[in-house]
Amino acid sequence: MRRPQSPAANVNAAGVVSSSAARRVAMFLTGLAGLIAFNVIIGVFGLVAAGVGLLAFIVTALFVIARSSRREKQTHG
Amino acid sequence: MAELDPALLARVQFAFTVSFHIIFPTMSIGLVWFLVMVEGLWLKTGDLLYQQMYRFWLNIFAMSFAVGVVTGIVLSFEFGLAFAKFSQLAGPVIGPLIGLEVLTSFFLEAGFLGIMLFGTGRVGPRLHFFATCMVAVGTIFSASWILAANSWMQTPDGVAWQDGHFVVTDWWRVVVNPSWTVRLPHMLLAALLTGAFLVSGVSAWYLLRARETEFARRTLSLGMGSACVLIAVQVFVGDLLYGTMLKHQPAKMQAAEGFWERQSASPAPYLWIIVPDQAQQRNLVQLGMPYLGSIWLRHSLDGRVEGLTNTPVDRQPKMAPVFYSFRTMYVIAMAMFTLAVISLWLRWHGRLYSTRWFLRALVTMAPAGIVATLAGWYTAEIGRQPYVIYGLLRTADALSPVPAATLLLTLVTFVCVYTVFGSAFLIFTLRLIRRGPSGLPGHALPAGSLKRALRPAIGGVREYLASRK
Amino acid sequence: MDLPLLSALFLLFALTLYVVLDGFDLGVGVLLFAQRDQRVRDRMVDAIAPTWDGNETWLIMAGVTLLAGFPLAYSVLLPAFYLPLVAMLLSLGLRGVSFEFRHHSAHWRRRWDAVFGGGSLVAALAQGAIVGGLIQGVRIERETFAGGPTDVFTPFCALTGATVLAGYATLGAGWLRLKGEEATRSFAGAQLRWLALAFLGLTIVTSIAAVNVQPELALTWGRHPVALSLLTLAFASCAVLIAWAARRDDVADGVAFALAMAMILSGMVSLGLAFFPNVIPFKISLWQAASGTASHVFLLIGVGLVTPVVLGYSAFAYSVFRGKTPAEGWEP
Repeated sequence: MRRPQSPAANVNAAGVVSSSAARRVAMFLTGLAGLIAFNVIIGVFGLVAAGVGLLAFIVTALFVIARSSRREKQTHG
Repeated sequence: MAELDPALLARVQFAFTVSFHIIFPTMSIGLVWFLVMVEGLWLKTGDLLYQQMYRFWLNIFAMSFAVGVVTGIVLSFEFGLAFAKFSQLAGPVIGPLIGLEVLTSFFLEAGFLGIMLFGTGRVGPRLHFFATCMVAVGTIFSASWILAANSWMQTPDGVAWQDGHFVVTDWWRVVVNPSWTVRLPHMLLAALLTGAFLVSGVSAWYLLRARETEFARRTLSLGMGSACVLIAVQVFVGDLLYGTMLKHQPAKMQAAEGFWERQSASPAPYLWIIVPDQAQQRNLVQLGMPYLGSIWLRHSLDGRVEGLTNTPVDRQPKMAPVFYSFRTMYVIAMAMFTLAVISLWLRWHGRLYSTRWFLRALVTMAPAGIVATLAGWYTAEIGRQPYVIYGLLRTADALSPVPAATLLLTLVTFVCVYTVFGSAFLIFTLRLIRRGPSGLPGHALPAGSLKRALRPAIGGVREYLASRK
Repeated sequence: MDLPLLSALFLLFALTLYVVLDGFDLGVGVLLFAQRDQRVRDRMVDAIAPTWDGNETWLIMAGVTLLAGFPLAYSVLLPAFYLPLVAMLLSLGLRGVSFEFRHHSAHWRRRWDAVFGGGSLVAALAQGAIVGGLIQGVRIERETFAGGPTDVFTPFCALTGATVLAGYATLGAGWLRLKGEEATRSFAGAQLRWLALAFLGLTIVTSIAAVNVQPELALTWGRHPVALSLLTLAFASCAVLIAWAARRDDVADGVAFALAMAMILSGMVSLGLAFFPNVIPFKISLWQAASGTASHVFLLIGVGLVTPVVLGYSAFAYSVFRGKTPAEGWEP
C-alpha cells in the first residue's frame, strides 16, 4: 500500500480514503458523548426519557441506512 | 504432592467447559438470525449475491453449531458429575426447565438443521427458508429455557424447602423470576451483536484487501446496520439489568464497582483500575474518573455508591474478577456504540466502505461480542459466589463424591479435547474466510472434489420456481 | 395417577429411542475402520449425516428426565459412572465435530475418519460399561454414592461394553444395507453375517456372567419366566435370520435393519424387566428417588404436548432424506 502523501483526504491504489486526525477524534468523541448523555438523561429525566432518546437514535439510524441504500442502488444499479 | 481441593477443581472444570461452550451458541444465534435475514432477502429479491452470502456464512454456522451441540451435551451431564449435591437438590426445579429446553429447542434445531445443511437439492426454496427459520426459532427457545434455569439460580423464587428438598410451589414464579425477564433479552441481544460484529469484521477485512467487494459491502451494510439498532436497545436493557441486580444481588454489584467503604465519597468517581485486597477489605490502588461514578451509577451528580463491606465477609464474592469482567463487558459495549455512531456518520457521507481506519477497527472488533459475552457471564457467575443458588445453597456444599485426583484427570482431558475442537474450528473458519465466498465449494463434496457449488444453472429464485411448475 | 411411573416410562422411551437411533449412527462410525475405500467411507458418513443430531438429542432427553424426575438417582449414578461418562461425552463430541470438520480437508479426511470411528467406538464401549455397572450395582450410603471411580472397571463391564459394541455395529450395518448403493450395500451385507452372530454369542456369554455377578437377576427369571424365554428366543432367531438374509438379494434391503432393531429392543425390554421398579437397579425404587409432584406435572405436560410434534417433524426430516443415499453425496 502506498503511504498517503498528505494527512488530508487521499486516495490510494485500492480506492480507500484516509481521514484526517482531527476528524477521527471528533467521531470518537461523538460516540462516547452519546453514552454519557444517555446516563445523564436517565439521572435528570428518568429511564423513560432515556428510552425515548434511544428510540430516536434508532429511528435516525434507520433513516440514514435507508437513505444510503437508496443512493447505493442509484449509483450501482 | 500438594493437597488438591476438589471444590476448586470442580469449579475450574465446570467454568472451563461452560466458558468454552457459551462461545458457540452465542455465535450460532447471531449467525443463524443473520442467515434468516439473508435468505429472506434472497427469496424476496432473487438477487444471487444473497445466496452467496447465505452459503458462505452457513458453513461457518454449521461448524459453530456442531461444537456448541457437543459441548452442550457435556454440560447436561456435568451437573451430576461435578456438582451431584446441587443436582439432587435443584434437579426438581431446573430439571424440568432443561427438559423443556430439550423438547422445544434441541429437537427443533436438530430436526431442521439437516434440511438446512443438506436439503437444498431435496426441498424447494420456501421450505428450505422455513427450515432456517425453525432452527433460528429453536435457538431462541433454547436461550429462554436455559436463562430461566440460570436466572432461578441467581434470583430464586417459587420454591419451598421441605424435608431437605426443594419443592416447586409456583412454576410461573420459578420461570418468570425477578431477573429472567431482563437477562433473556440481554443475552439474545449479546448473541445478535456478536453475529453483527463478526460478519462486519470479516467484511471489513475483505474490503481492506479489495477482495469480494460486492459481498463485503452488502454484508457490512447489513451487519453494521443491525448493530446500530441492537446496541441502542442493549444499552437500555443493560441499564435495566444493572438496576435489577442491584436490588436482588447487591453484593455482586458492590463487587462490580470496586468500592469497599459502606458509602463511597460524594461525588463518586468511576473506577477503572483497582488492586483490591480482599483480606484487608480495601483497595491498595484505585484510579478512576471523577464524578462519573455518581452520574453513571446513581444517575445523579452527587450520589454515593455502596461498597462491598455492606455484605458480610463470608458472603462476599471475590472483587477482582467480578470488577474486571464487568469493566471489560462495559468497555466493549461502549466501543460497539461508538463504532455504530461512526458507521452512521460515514454512511451519511458515503464513506462507509472506504474509510481505512474504521475498517481496521471493525476487523479488531470482530470477536468483540464473544469477549463481552464471556465477561458478562463471569460477572454473573463469579458475582453470585459463594452461592450456587443465591442465598440458598453454597457452592462448597454442592459437590460430587468424586476424588480430587479423578477431577484433575478429567479436567486435563477436557482441556486437551476442547483444544482440538477449538483449534480445528479456528483453522477451518479462517481457511474459509481466506478462501472467500468466490472460492466457495459450499458444503464440500464428501468425495473430496472441491467443485464450485454455486451452480449458475439454478439462477434466481423466480427462474427456479418457474422451472418447477 | 402415578406420575413418577409415567416419568419413568418416558425415561425408558427416550433411552430406547436413543439406543436404537444413535445405535446405528455409532455402528456406522465403528464400521469405518473396516472399510478401506475412502469413497465408500464418504457414502457411509453421508448415510447418517442429515439425522445424527436429532438422534443424539434423545440421550440428553434421557439424562435430563433423570435429573428432573429422579434427582436422587441422577446424583448417585452420575458420580458412580464418572469416568465412562466423561469418556462417552468426549468421544461423542469428537464424533460430532468430525461430521463437520472432515469436509474441510481432503488431505486430513482419513485422520478425521479415524477420529470419527474412534469416537464412535469409545462411546459404544463406555455405554456398554455403564450397562454393566448398572447390573453390577453401585455402592450407596445415605443417599450418596459411596464407591470409587474405578468400580466400573471390571472384566464384566468390559464384556458388556463389547456386547453393546457388537449390537451397535450390527444395527449400523443393517442401516447401511438399507441406505447404501452397490459398494456400501455389499460391504454392509458382508459385515452383517458375522456381526449378528457375534452379537448373539456375546449376549449369551454376558447373560450367563450377569447372573453370577448379580444374584438378584436369578429372581427376575423366576418372576417372568415366559416373557424372558420368549424374548431370548426372539433375540436368537433374529440373529440367525440376519445372518441368513445378509447377502441375499431376494430379501428386502430393510429386513436386516428391522431384525437388528428387534434384537436391541428385546434386550432393552429384558433389562427393563430386570430393573423394574428400581431406578438405581436393585437398590432404590423410582418412587423413592422421585422429585415432588410439581416437577413431574411440569415435565409430563411438556412431554405430552411436545413429543408428538417432535416425533412428527423428526419423521418428516427422515422422509426428506428417504431412499438410498445418493452416490454423489448431498451436494445440490
